[in-house]
Amino acid sequence: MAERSSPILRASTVVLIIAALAAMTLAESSARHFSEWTHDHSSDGVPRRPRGLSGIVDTYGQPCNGRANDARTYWPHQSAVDDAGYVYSHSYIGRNVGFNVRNHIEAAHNNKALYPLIGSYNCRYIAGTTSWSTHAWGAAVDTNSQRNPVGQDHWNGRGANGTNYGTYIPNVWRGGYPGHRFFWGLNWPTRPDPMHFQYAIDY
Amino acid sequence: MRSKILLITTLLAAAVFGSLSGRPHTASGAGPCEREPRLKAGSSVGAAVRGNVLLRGGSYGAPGVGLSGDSPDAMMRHVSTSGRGLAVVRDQVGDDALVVATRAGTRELPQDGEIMHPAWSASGDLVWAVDDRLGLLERGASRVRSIPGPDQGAMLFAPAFATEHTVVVVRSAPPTASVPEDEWSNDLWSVNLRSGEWRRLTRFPAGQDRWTAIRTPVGLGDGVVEFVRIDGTASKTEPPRFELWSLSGRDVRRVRALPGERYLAGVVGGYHVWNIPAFTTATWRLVLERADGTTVGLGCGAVAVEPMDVTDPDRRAPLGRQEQAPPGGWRDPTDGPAAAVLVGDFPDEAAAAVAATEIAAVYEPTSVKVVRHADAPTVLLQGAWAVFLHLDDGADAVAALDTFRERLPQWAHMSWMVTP
Repeated sequence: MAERSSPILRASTVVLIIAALAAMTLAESSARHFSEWTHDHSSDGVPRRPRGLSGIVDTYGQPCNGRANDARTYWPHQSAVDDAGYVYSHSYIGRNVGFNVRNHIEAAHNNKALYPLIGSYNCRYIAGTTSWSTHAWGAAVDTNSQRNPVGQDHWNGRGANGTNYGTYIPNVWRGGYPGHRFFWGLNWPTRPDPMHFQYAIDY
Repeated sequence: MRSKILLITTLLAAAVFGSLSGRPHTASGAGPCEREPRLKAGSSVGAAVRGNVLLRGGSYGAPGVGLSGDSPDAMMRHVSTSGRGLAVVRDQVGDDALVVATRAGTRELPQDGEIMHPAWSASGDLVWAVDDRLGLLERGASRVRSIPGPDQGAMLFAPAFATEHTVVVVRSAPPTASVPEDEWSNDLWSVNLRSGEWRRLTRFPAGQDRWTAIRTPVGLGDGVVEFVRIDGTASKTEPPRFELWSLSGRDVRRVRALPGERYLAGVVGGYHVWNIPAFTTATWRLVLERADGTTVGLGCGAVAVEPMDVTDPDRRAPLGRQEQAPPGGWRDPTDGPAAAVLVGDFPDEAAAAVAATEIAAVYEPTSVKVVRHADAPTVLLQGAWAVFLHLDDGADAVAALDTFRERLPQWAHMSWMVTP
């Protein structure tokens, strides 16, 4: 008579089978994830980030010029939750915004980490001053603005689905990856601007 | 008789002043200014150059005397001079200080917040803006009086004395559903310094895309204030309209259009003095405009405008890894992945196909493709159709977009650079 397997052995077998199935599912998910990954985190095509007003004008031209909204990307939750829209930025940073940042979030299946409002080109001043905003060159992108207003001294990472993604979105913009390197407005010493990511520093 | 508040006039050339400042700067402060004539010395003159203030002549110092920002984390900006004294903001990381120089000496008034635009009255009172309120130092007084703004959440800046007891100031409204951005809706308000009563004086248009800004009001006495109004559209890639306006009592009128970007630096002998930006050299030109419209260059320097020749201490990037170049350094923008020119959006495949046919007649047909959202999820809305003109790896996408628009002008207004 065949000896019956012990309850512990049977339970272990079930656990192993479940684990194997889970691993296969994860592997499939991971494979799909990486097959959709469309950028390589190299520094290829990552142009010099200008410094100061002179650098900005040298790089982007005059404020509100015709190239300042020549590059386009599509963003979920751009104007409202589940209301997608286009974001227009300067062609100089078209690859950074589109290929590096937007594709990164899409490929990582983290679109739900986004939250309205999201925008870039905006022919406007810095409030109360005669200085043009970096948005007037299409050199900055505001994201998750409604939860991260000017003056707030921290990042609110809650996305469109209510989940808190921590600093996932800022981390994609500001680098760690060579293709990103936007300056985060939260780091301005006096009046933080957590929604704001600009491809320029010292301005 | 109309009394004149002679705000500010001019400064020494940056070349002269450069020796006073060892501060790093973003561009030459001299440039075209060296070749221009200057106002004769003898009147009170002051403006910010390379983060410092220069005085020349007048009652407050010998020729060439400068007020320094004193610290690499500070700079001087918003200079106001009159027959009563000089006031300037020491803009610092964090809270600012107001430096006031009169015959009685120099005082420094630390303030809790960001100070903007000090302005003198004819009798020697001094007013300035701090975030959402005004500061007032009455002549002979030792203590500063704080005047709350008309409401909370709005920013105040650029106050000017309309009369001895009435100050006109710009209020920047906070975002609302109908005007979704801050700084898109500027209006003039006045406050009676005796009663504290506020009145709204203008109702300039602002909306989902259109904005109105008000800059550099100058009090001319007897209730008259002149200012620059800027009328812009956020989504348009063209400069906004600049106009000179006048306020008299509650009567507001447009005086004339201005030939491009410029801001009032003062009124001298009835003539306007303008600050005109020269972005390529990061300098502010000072120009006096005669009654017949001819102009005289006065040199360079920032009066009531933001200095361009140094970085605002509040906007400097802190040192850190994120502020450094990526490993391997910066690359040429064309040294990257393939981009495309997108033409769209079209409501259906047939409409996109028509455009594709036209594009394929000019470009290599194999590089032209009709796409929908599923083909390019990061550049195209769901339900929309477009045409891709694929560019080779390493192609200069910026130049390619220019060329495309020249060759197919009928699609220029619907063409964008994308990196799918």
